[in-house]
Amino acid sequence: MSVSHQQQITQLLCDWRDGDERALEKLIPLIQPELRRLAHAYMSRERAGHTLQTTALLDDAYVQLAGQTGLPWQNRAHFFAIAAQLMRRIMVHHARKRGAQKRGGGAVMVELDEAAVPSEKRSADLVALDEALEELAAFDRRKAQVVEMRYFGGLTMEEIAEVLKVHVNTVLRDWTAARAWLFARLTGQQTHAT
Amino acid sequence: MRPEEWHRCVEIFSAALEQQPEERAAFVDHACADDKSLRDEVTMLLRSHEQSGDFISEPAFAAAPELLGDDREALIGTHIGPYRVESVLGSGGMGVVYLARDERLGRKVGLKLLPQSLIADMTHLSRLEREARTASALNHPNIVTIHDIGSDHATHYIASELIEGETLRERLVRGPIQLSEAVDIAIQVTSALVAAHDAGVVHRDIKPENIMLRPDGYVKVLDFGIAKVAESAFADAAFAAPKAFGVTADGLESMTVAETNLGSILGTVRYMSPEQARGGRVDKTTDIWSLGVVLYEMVTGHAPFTGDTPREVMSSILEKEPPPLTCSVAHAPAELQQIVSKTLRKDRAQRYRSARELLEALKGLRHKLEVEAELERPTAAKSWLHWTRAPAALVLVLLAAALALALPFYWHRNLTTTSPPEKSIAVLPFENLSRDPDNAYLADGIQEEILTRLASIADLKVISRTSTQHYQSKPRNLAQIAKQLGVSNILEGSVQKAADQVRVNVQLVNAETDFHLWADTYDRKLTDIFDVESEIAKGIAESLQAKLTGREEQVLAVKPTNNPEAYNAYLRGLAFEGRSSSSYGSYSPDLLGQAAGFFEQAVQLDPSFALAWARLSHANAHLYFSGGLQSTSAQRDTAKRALDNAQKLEPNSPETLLALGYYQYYVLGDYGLAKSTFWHVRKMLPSSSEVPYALGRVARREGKWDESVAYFEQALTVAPRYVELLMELAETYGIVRQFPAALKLYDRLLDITPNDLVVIAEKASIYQAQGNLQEAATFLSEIDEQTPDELTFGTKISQLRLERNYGEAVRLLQARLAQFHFDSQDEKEVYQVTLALTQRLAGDTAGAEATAEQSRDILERLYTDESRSPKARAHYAADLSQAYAAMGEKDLALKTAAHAIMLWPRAKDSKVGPMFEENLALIQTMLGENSRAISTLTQLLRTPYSGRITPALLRLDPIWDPLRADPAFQKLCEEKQP
Repeated sequence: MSVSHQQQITQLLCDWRDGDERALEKLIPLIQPELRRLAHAYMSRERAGHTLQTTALLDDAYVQLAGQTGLPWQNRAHFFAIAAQLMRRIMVHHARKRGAQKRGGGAVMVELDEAAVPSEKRSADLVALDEALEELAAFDRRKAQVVEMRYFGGLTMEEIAEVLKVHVNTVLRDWTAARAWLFARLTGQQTHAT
Repeated sequence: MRPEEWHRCVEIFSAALEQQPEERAAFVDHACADDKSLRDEVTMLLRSHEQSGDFISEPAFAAAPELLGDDREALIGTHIGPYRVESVLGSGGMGVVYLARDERLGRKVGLKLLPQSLIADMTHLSRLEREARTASALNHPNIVTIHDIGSDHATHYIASELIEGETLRERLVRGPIQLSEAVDIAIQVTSALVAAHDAGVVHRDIKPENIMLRPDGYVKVLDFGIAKVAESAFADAAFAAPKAFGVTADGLESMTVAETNLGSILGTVRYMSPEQARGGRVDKTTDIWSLGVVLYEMVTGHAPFTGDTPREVMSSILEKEPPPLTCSVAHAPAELQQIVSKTLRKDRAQRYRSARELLEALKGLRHKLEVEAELERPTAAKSWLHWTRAPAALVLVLLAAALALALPFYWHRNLTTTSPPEKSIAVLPFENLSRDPDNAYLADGIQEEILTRLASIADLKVISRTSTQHYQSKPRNLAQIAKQLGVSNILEGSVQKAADQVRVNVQLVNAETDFHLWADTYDRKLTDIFDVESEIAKGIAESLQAKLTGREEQVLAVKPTNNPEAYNAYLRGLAFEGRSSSSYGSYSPDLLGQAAGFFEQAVQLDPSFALAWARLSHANAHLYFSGGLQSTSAQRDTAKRALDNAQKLEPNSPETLLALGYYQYYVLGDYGLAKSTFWHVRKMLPSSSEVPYALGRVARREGKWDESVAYFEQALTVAPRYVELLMELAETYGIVRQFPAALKLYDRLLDITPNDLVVIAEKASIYQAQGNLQEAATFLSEIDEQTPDELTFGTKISQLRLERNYGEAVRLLQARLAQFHFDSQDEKEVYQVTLALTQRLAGDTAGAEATAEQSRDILERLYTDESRSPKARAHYAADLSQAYAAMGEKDLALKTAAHAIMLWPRAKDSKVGPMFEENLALIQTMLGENSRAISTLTQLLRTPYSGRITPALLRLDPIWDPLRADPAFQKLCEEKQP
């Protein structure tokens, strides 16, 4: 990665932290290849019989990018928030590809309590979750963000609190409520989504 | 639902969760009052909450990792370059690896496709390709062979040897590995590292995923293709942004992690070294650390540094000591623990200094495990073991085991010589059948020329002439000689010359079976002699079924000159050159001078004779370098002129490059240049002992002692009885104060050249350094004023001084001064100064002064003679400073001693340079500057150099007597003895 490339990432991260939402769109194509490469690395480890650590992947990515860009550690949480969005995009993209032929349009109701879920089903679950999350975001953006950071980014509650600049108890409440709502939505229970 | 309704709903839901479960329904009823839809919503959320179990509690990429990947199967069945992709083998940090078939050659390969993200950046791509090319040059049985690097449209690939088997990671999933197997795997990986490190390649990412285990027991290390080539990366980084990365000039072999895109991201955190975790510089010891982690994990089944997140793992790496092996494996031997602990030192300076050192330790451990396994073997040895229960017999067994451990060198050599490679050969001295003994040179010269040709054939192991010249022509005990040299085949020959007619007779014998593989007789004119040499070399290659590359064929066919007279002179030169270094390790400048004379004659007869120019340059450079006090600028100039001519005629021949290397080493003292030149030649003369030997000497000058030992050991494999080489290696062990290793080599030398005074004196000086004067004395008893060798005589004088037998020392010195014929005035002055110092120690200050005064004029003249080499002048300066000190000329003495250091500093010559610092300490001591002397000595005690100050010597040597009262000096004397 060239020096200017690094500086660019650093600058965009700072902009985004300072509230510039457009910076995020510019960041994604810069960081995505790194993350995808890491994902490969993690997959091969998984194949070799290693269990994935929760935030290990993003930590690695962060260590890598932070090392390259000279980012101070305080930016770690913000980085994770971006990374979580990226992870979501990447995974859902793949899940959609896999499930393309087996699925009709619209949301699919799925069972979530099976112990050993085959990969096709996991793809479908993930796509459904992604769509439910979009619905949630439509009326409660912050709760959707919390889920995104927690589920796709593996961030801790404290880290999420730091990114969202709210108290950790708020994050906990958001998470519990969002999770309950999503579960209800995905198991076909009646909800009053707008 | 409107947002405000939803928020109200969540509020009640959250508050309800804070109630006891049985009270929640009532709470919700109360909170929602009569808003039914709100109540339904909250109730639904609460029910959902209770049913949800661990819904989305585990992050997505852990639950469905396959959804992170690209569509790797898409490429199957397609063509990339000449390869047809057949299936996915796996993927690593650097891309997906496919099983593919090379359709040109019909062989299966591992095809690694580099990820787009990486090659999008052209600088990455070019660096990666360069690295892969460097890696492809690594030729080692434990390193995966890279066949091809290329691209097809935008896809870049690396095709490598296909390894069947599993990765060490896959093996480890099944549990820990048995001790002996784990050690064997570690040995093979370390061997790979030795080869890579020798080539300047640091792997940086040693981990179980990169280690393949083949079913036949072979271990292959993968991904050297992505390892950084330390030097090129350093150059890039320094070029790109020197300040940003804090790269310093000493960083040739190290670099910062952050500056590359590949470094830390690929180093799986668990196998990262502390320096990688800190983002610090990576060097060879980083690989040693990672290997230690792998070894630990193999033995115990789990990694030494763990944690739930990479950050936790990193802090564990930086701060924690791993639990001892015995926590997991009760019977883990202490030696293994020591090895693991030493690889896992946080401070890299405390780790094994080289992979080779680690390799030795691992081999020692393997040997011990083998011996133990042998002792414990229950089957055939049962009755024998029972028998050994008798105490005396047990002692015998233990003694045998101890001996086995104590003699690694002999065992090693013997082990390797039990089954020498089939394509190995030693050429014994050719017999001279000519009536005129003056024609002996032809036999020597032809032997050397055949050897030179054989050395260019990579497929052959050829023992160099330096190891065979001690044998007679046509000996009876061929089998024994072959065993000593570690070869299967021996070539014998004879040369007979009458007028301009030459008859060469050769026979190639398999020493083990005594089967004559090939024999031939050539009757030719002297003018056609090189054809004969080439034909013989080819005949040998054919008989041993050695493969010749096209280039090797060409080399064999080259006709160096069309002038038979010139070639004749050249052969004479070769014969003298060979003899000049033959006598007991010390070389004869006289014979080398004669050799140079014949080479000069050869180039006068044929000025286009490149080979002779090259040899002429080498001989003069060597004379200039080794002549010490007699070096002249004429030798230097001839070396330069001859080199220039050789370069004009044959710039790329191995001989010209060798001459260039020697010029850079001997004359310019530019070790970096010399090294790269010798490196280059090494590829052209793969089975030559000369090149690794030269590299070993250069490394030693640079103070890279381990590297030097490694090269010397490598040279020894093709020159096992090369006296000079053995001497150099023993000396190097002495320099690094590994005295037992040095003593063993001296014993091996005495086996080859019994009663050799030089070897005996060197051995004695090791005993002196150990403080064992009694043992030293037994070796020196025969040395007197008649002993021709200066070093030997000097060791005797040192012995007498250490014994404080000044009377005898003065007598010997005076006798030598009076009787011995000196080659030049210079040597006499050296003894004169030694005599003065000895008289001073004996209390005869006036005598000392007078003796010193006598040498003053000549030494001053020699010291200021700028036509002499700086090294020679430094020696004179040192001697002169001692003379000044003996005369009480304090200022002059200190100034001259300091100038000696400047003339030949340690930065220029790690081996000899510090000797002038030792001289300064001596002068400071003589002149009462005690604290300065002590601080100089303190430093020297930790410096490897050929003077080898040791605590024992400080304790014993009377020259340090004036310092004895000082507690700081007493402390030095009590330091641990090496």
